[in-house]
Amino acid sequence: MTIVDCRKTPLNFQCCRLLQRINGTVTRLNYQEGAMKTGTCALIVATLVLTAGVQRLNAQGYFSDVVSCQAADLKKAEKNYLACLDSPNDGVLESGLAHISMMKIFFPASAFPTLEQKVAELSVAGRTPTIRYKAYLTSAVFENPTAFALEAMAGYEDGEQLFRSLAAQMQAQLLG
Amino acid sequence: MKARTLIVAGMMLAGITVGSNAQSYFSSTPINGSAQKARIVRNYLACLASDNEGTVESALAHIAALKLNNPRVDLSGFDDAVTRVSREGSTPLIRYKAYLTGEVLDNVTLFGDESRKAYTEADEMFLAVSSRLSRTVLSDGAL
Repeated sequence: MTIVDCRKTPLNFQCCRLLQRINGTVTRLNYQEGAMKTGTCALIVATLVLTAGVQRLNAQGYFSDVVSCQAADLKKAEKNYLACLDSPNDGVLESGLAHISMMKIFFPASAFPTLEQKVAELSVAGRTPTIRYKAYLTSAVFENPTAFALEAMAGYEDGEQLFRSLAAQMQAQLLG
Repeated sequence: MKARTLIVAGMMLAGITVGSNAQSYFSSTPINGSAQKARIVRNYLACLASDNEGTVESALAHIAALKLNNPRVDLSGFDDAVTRVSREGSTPLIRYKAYLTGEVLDNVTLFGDESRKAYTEADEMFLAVSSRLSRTVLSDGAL
């Protein structure tokens, strides 16, 4: 737990409230009159903001970020993801679908016709309801990748989070 | 019985009748016999082939509700048409509803709670089916 003592001045108070909103770094605030000079408090706040930023960057571990993806060989990626979709292992297949969704969101103008066809087949003939549902959501991304552009901005800890987000957005967009 | 008591009783009965009619969008009458089933399937298949979006969406809703209300009845006659609509339907909404209907046809036991509800409109049922699917299928690999 990080405890920040700060003066009960409007500026410091707002800074600390802001930090609480950014993430849970500051979990308890002691508001004591004259407990700390404004300069010291500002330094702590700046350090915490930096820490929060680093933590956020580290948290985006499951999917490559857009900068890394720009350098990727898309032909090779498509070939590898196709192999994933043919895997007898459900986890490999589902993970492949998550990464395919993210790739299409990152590269909405790029066409991946073989992948798209395979994903559409899986949405109908996948061997489990989970595979069919995830394939259906991936198909929806292929159909209208820009509608899911905000998904690329979020950091996901795993593929399930991405699919939950896609499902919620589909539901909100189509069924209200 | 006094006239006033009779009038009150009549109004209460009318209220109950109106209230119960407003509750459910779908018929809960069970399918009665193979001839009736064949007729239902033929009619809804014709609706699915319609150019009118509302007709297709309504047919999809009634097919899903039919399966939810009659989970043991074989409605595989809809499978191909519903799959086709989920891939080739004219709007994203139609394709989404067709996909949800296909999941109800394929895996009706997943939607036990949804089959016991009375829906006032079709989208309410699709929302319930969609939510169930998300909760069950996307939560910690439950299936």
